[in-house]
Amino acid sequence: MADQLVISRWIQANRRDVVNFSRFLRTHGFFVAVADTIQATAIMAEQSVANSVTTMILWRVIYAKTPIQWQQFEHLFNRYFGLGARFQNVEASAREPDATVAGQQSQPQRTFSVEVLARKPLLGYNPDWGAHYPLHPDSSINYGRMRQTTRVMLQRWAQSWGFYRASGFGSDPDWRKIMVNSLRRGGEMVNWATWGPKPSLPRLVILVDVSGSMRQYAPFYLSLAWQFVRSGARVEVFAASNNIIRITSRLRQTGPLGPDVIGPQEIGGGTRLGWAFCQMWEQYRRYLTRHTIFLVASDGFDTGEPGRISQYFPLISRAVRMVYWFNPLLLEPGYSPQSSALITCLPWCHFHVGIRDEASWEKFSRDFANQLFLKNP
Amino acid sequence: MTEAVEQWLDRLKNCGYIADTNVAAAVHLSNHLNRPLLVEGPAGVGKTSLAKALAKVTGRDLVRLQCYQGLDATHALYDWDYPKQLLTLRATNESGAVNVDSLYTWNYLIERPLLQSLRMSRAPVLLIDEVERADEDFEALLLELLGEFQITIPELGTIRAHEPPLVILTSNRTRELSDALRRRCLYLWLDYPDPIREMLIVETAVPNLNQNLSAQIVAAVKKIRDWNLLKPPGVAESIDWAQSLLLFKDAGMTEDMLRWSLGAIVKTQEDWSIIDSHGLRTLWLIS
Repeated sequence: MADQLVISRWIQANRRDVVNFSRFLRTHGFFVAVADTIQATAIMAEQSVANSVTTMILWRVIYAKTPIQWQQFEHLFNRYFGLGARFQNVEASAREPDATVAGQQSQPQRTFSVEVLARKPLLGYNPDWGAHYPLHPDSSINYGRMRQTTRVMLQRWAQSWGFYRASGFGSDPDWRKIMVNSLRRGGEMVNWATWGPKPSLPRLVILVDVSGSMRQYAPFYLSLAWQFVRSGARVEVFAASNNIIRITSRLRQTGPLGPDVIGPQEIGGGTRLGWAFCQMWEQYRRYLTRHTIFLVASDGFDTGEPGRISQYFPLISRAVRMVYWFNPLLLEPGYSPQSSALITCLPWCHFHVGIRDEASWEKFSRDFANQLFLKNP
Repeated sequence: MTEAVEQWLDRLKNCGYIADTNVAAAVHLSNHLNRPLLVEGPAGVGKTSLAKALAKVTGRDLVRLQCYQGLDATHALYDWDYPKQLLTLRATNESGAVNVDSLYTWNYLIERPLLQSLRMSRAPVLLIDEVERADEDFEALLLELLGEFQITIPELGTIRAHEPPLVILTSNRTRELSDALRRRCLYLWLDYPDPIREMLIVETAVPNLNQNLSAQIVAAVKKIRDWNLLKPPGVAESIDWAQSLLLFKDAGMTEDMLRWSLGAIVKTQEDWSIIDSHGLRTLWLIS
């Protein structure tokens, strides 16, 4: 039903979708000639296409030119047009009547209007889309209900581990520095150096994927991160799409219905998880200590280089105490991780959990608290 | 599924070719868009049979060009009948003046398969088989035919097809084809069929075969394909094996009979040693 809805809208749409799809294929190594695009358009106009599978089968004959492209095409088609469980959810939410109540502001960022769908009829992944939607904590979430859960989880994740060490601020002599200074000055002990304040390293580092494919779920993860930050715990939050941005300070200054955490021009679409992990490792390695819990919130759809993921994610996993992967699609019935990024990362994750809204977060926390999760994750 | 694709599925099935939707869609598009279809896949999965089935389905003639190393225009496109020209020249010399242009007319032209397919009154199915075995120069020669359905003969001009033939090119991927050739064709990757389709194919090709036997054959062949043989058995080999096994059916299956019949699917000594290392009993439940 959803597929038919998609295709009927597709037929009414202009040729730009096909042209953009051809362009998308070219970026993935397909040799798409103009004639191929014209014929793909013509086929859609002439044939009574019943569903997306038929479209994929017909287009594959036109676009694919080698066995590898033949195998890749179905995956790329589904990724570009987002024809899967995620899309059906979006369609379902699009068909729901607008829940605007008099006197209350509607939440356009949580539901997709039919106009939006008509403009982008094959709604789904598009490299130009990422972060072109409001990115701030979701105001429709019942934060009061989540507060207790979040606090309990923070106690477990962000509490101090190991022996407590005083900061040594201002009193302990830094003998190494004293010796170095004295050697520089011909052996005279003229400078009395003490240890500076010990940096307070975060115990919880969160990486939220905000690419186009995570459009539906990113606001919840930002809300969760906002609540972590707001609780005063030592938390660092990063948003990743085709770039990675540290958003901890921005989350402190915003809130539900507050200003956007990331502007539309700051970050583009197309997930580059490998690049994000590389940046985490190269630029923010100081946050990744043996006490750190590393949370990744992503569906695993990646358009970057799989090599980078396999290079850097194991390094991060070894450096930190524990890695949790929050996958919103894990709650879909019949879902099994197929994307190459997830397949690469999952062996290095300690827990792969399905969390995408308040209910699933509460359930996870309840299981966690009951030790069921730890015994049988 | 579009009706047209379903119709192609039925039509091919009626001719004894059990296709899947990918094949039917490719054939439909090739026919509808008048574009050549490049079919690639392992040996013995039914690439050539597809062209034969298409000829049968559409009621057209099948013109086949088997490619090989050294194939050139004189064997594929056209050639001048030099002995005939020479004889004409001698005869004309004796009588008087010679008109050289009169020696380069259709009377002295030998049509080869490609030109033949363009000049036939009813467009045929043109099968260019194992195109990767020909040289790269020959690929360049094909470009004009595949792109425009025409051939240029310098002495006679450009010959264009009245009705474009249905062109099927097959390749076993022993060599990569050029991008220019691929660009002019639609593409179909024909892999080993899934077990249910393979059972249907075997049962269609060998009508006397019972379902149990065909299921065992398909399961065994599928197992062998996973053993990394030098020459994994295709569907054609499955059919051959089924026909061989049918001869022993009444005597009951023994290990010796299985070994004798396996020659239908195992084609090299190295493959035999792999089969032996696994043991015949892993292939077939022998009582």
